[in-house]
Amino acid sequence: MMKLLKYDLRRNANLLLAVCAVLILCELALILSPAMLEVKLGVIIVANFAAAVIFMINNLRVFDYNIKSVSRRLLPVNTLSYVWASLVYGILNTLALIVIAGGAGLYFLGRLDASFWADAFKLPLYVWIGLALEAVFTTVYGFLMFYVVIALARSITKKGAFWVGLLLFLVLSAVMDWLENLLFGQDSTQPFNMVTFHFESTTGTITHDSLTAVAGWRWFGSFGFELLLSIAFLFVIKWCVEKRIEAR
Amino acid sequence: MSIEFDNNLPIYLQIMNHIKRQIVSGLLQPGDKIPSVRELAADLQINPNTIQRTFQELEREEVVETKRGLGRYVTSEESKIMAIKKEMAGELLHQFIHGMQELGFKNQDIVTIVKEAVAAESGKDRKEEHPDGRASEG
Amino acid sequence: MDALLKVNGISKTYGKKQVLDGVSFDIGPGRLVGLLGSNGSGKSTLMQIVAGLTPATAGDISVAGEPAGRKTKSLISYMPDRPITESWMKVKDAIAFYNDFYADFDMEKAREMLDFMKLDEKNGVSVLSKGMNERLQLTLALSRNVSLYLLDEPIGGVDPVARGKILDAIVRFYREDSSLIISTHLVRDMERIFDEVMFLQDGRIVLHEEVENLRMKHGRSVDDMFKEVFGE
Repeated sequence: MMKLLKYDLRRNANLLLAVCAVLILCELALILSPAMLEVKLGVIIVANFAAAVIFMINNLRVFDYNIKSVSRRLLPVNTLSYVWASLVYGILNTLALIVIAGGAGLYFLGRLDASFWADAFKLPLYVWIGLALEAVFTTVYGFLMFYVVIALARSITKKGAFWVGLLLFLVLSAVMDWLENLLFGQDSTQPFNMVTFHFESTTGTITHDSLTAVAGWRWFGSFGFELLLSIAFLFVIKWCVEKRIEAR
Repeated sequence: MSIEFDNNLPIYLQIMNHIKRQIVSGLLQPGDKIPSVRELAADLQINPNTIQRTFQELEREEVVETKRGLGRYVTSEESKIMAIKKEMAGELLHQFIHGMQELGFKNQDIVTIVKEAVAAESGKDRKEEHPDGRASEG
Repeated sequence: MDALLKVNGISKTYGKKQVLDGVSFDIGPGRLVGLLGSNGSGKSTLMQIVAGLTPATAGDISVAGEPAGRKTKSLISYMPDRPITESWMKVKDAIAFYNDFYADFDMEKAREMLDFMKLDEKNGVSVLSKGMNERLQLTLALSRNVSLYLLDEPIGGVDPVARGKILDAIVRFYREDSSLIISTHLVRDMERIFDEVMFLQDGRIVLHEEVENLRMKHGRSVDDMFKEVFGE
């Protein structure tokens, strides 16, 4: 798996480094420019978001390459290695982005009204750990859903796999949402299931000490469901690659 | 070494004949080492198994012998080499006679013509002073 | 001697088109086999199925007794008819790639062959001519020490000089305990290196014979028989 990862990184090195370099330059340019703070923040957020999108698409293409290219499919590796390699690749990219965004964030930290964030830092550690774990898991689950859709699309058709994939993805995520709602009554509009944020506001604005968080246990059902689905996705991907997808 | 091969006929036989010709003409002396299967196969760009078969047949006919650990060598027995000469001559003769008969020559005429031809060839040889001093066969 | 490769009733359909129809054959160890057929006769598909790249619609395959799967990938070295090196690579990266992933890769043999093929390690693969690329693919495939080599059209579309080199390499680096299956439609150039040949026509094996037997029995070259069977 590590070897696959190494070669995936080398193959995409130009793209990855270019995006990082451009992003860093962008941020530096903005920071040094005389524009308004809010404008800088806005543009940097957009730039980071664009980079994230590029990385995400790149990750999907790396996975796609792994499951369908002849040179990869000839390798005597475990079928799921392709999945692990792509996931780790995605995680590494994400970390890189976090570091770059974090660097820019440090700049803003001193300048914006950060009292809101100071409250956030007061939250207990276990909440942070919970958030981090959930974030990682959700990301992985999201990627796996993309991967399984790519694998299925490639199993079904040779041409137009992209559109089939897109369709499958929309259908799948809609079905998953509906199921989760049905089974657990979870509101999928909440970004985090584990932790619910409460804003107490007496004056209609967010003020100090208005942020508390509670780690609840209702998330367990939803988490379990997604975990089972992830495992199911892995099986489906394995089946697709071994039995259905032709290497080209 | 490059040989013209006829793909219509078994290759191993053609290689066998080639090697025999080399022995008979002295290019391969008695006791000389023969290239290995691999070398010959690479030289001629021919399947190694075919070469192997050739060597096996040559060994069976006792034209070559294998010295364990050292390789394959042309037999040093003069009688064997003479036998090969006669065998190859026999084929040549067979082909020649049939060829002449097809041209319409009768058997006595064939003998006469051969005598004349041999004499003429020898004369030519003496004039050209054949370099290795050997009279040519046939 | 147990067969190295057993192919049993392999069929492959693409939609309505049947490319392979019940292909069955056994190949013993130490054989150089020609898989012959006209263009589009399914030779590549058959090789890809044996190499594990394409799923068969029906039938099964075993290599050295193992059913086709992850283990057999370590027993088979496949050279496709199209180059599969990644464009960012230099020749030495392509070699390193194989070395990294295949435990049976012989680095020394690879360097020897690169030398023999006159390939420079430092060149980028994207600047190689077609002939040079074929030589590289062959080097990669043959530098692995495996039981079964599958070469798909190793000399197709390549200049005569490169052809000679490639045939030379195939014969020179041949190992007695392993077998090669070479698919080609250029029969005349290659027939001297085959032990046995299989003719694939309309998705079926219509002939599977030792080459010297063919010559002895029919007094004809494989090339002539090929023209006869495939009616060119």
